[in-house]
Amino acid sequence: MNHLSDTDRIQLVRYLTEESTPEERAEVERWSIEDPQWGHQFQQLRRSWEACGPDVLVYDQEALWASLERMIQADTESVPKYVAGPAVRGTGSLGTQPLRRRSWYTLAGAVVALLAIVAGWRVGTLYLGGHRSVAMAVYTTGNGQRANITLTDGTTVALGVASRLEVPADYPAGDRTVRLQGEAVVTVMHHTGIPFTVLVGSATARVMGTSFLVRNYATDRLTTVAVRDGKVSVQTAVQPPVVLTTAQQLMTDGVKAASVQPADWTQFSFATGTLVLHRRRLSDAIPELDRWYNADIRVNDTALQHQVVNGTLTAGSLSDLESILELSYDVHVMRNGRILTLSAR
Amino acid sequence: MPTPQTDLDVELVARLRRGDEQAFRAIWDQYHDRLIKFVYRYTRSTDAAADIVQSVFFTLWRERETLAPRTTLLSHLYGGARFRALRELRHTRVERAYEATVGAEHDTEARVAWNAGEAVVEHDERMQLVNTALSQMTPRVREIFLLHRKDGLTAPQIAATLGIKVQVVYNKLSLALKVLAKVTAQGPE
Repeated sequence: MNHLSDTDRIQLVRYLTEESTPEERAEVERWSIEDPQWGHQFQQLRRSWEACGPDVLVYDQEALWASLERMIQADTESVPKYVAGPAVRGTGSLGTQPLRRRSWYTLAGAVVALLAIVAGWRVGTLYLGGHRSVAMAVYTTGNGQRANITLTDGTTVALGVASRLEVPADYPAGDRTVRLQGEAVVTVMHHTGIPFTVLVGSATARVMGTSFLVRNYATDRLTTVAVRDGKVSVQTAVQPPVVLTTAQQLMTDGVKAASVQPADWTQFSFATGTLVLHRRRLSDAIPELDRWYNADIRVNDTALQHQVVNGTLTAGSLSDLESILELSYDVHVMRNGRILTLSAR
Repeated sequence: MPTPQTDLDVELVARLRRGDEQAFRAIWDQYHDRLIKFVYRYTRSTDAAADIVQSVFFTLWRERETLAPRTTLLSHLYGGARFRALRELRHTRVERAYEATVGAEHDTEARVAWNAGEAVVEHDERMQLVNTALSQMTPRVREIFLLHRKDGLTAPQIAATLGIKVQVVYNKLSLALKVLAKVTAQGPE
C-alpha cells in the first residue's frame, strides 16, 4: 500500500466509494490483474472496507413521530403568529388534540413498542390476530446482515439474513409467542409451565427448553421447522400437532399434511456465519445468495440457470461473491454496483 | 449505497416552505431513521439520539418558511444533527467515551436491553480488524470514514455536511484506507 502514490490511493478510494467513472474503474481493476499479489491484498482490503456497514438500532418510531406532532401542535397553539395547518388530510395529523409537551419516552400509560430498523427498513403498525392487542418489538435484518438477540428470559435467537422477528413488548409475560419471517435458530430457556411458541409461515412451533430452526422466506414454498435438540410440537392448519425430536424436521406448505424427515444440518450453519449450498440449481440458489451477500444477481442464460451448485460460503462482501462465482462456478460476472450479471464462459 | 434523489428533495423543500404537512412527513420518513443512527454514534444513547433528531425536525417545521439549505436538504439535516450531537457531547462530557467506544462498538455478540434500547449486530473476525483500524484513525478521519460507510453519504455529501472541500474528504478517506491496509496486512489476531 505504501508504494502507491497519493493519486493512486485516491483512485482506490473513489473506486471503493463507487464514484469512479467506468474508465477509472477499469484501470483499478487492471492493477489487480497485472499484479496478482496486489490483487490479493486489495481483495482483503476491500473486504475490510465493506465489512463496516449500517447499524441496528432499537427505538420507538411511532411514538417519536407522535411526540413530534404534539410538540408542533403545542408550539402552534402557544405562538399565535404561526397559522395552524388546514384540516387533517391523508396521514398528516399535525392538528391533533393539544397535549402538554413531553419527551417521547416518558409517555405516561403508553405501551412502548420497540422497533429495530436496519438499513432503512420501516415498520408500520403491528397487529396480533387482527386486534391491536399488545405492542410488539420488531427485529429486522437486511440482506447480508445477521443478528443475535437475547430475550429477557435468556432465550436466544440467531436471526438470519433478510429476516424479521416480532416479540411482544411484555415478553415473557403472557404466552411467549413470537412471529418470524425469514430464518432463525432459536434456543429456548425453559420457563416453568409456559411453552415458547413461534408463528412462522404456515406453521406454529411450540417448544420447551430446546434448540431449533424455523424458516419461511417469501421465496420459499415450504415452511421448515428443524430440531437441533429437544422437542418441538408443530401444528399447521391441516394436521394435528406433530412432535419433532432431535435431528428431525418438518417441511409444510400448509395445504397438504407433511411428514417428519431427518433434519438437514446444513440449514443451521447460518447462525455461525456459513451458508451451505448443497446440489441446488443456480436459479434456486440466487435468492439465498442475494440475501446473504446483499446482491442482486441476474442470469440471462437459461442453461446456466439450471446448473447445479455446491458450496460452503462464509459471510462476506460482494467482491468475495464475485470471486466465488467466477472461480468456483466458472461463470463470467459483470458487476454494476450491487447488480451482478452472470453469463456462461 | 442508498442516496436520496436530489430532485425529490428540491421539490420537498419547496412544498415544505409552503407549509405542506405531507412534504414534512415525507422528509421525516426518508431521513429520521438514518439521522438517529448517525447521532447515536456520537451520543451512544438512543434516547439522546431520538431527542436530538426530534428537535432537528421540530426546528425544520418551525422555520419552514425561511428554509433555504446552503447545499442540499440532506447535508442541511445531517449538519444540523451533527451540530446538536457535538453540543450534547460537550454538555455531557462524554467526548472521551465517544473516542474510546467508536473503536469498540462491534465487540460483543448482540444483546437487547429492553429498557436501554441498545442493540449491536454480531460480526465475525473481520470486524475485529475494522475495530482496530477505527481506533487507530484520527477522530476526523474516523468520522468521515463512518459517514461514508455507516451513513451511506457520498464524498460530495460529506463535504457539504461538514462544510469542507470534496478533495479534503477524499484525502481523509485515503488516510482511512491506509490505516485499514496496514491493519488488514497484519491479519486477524
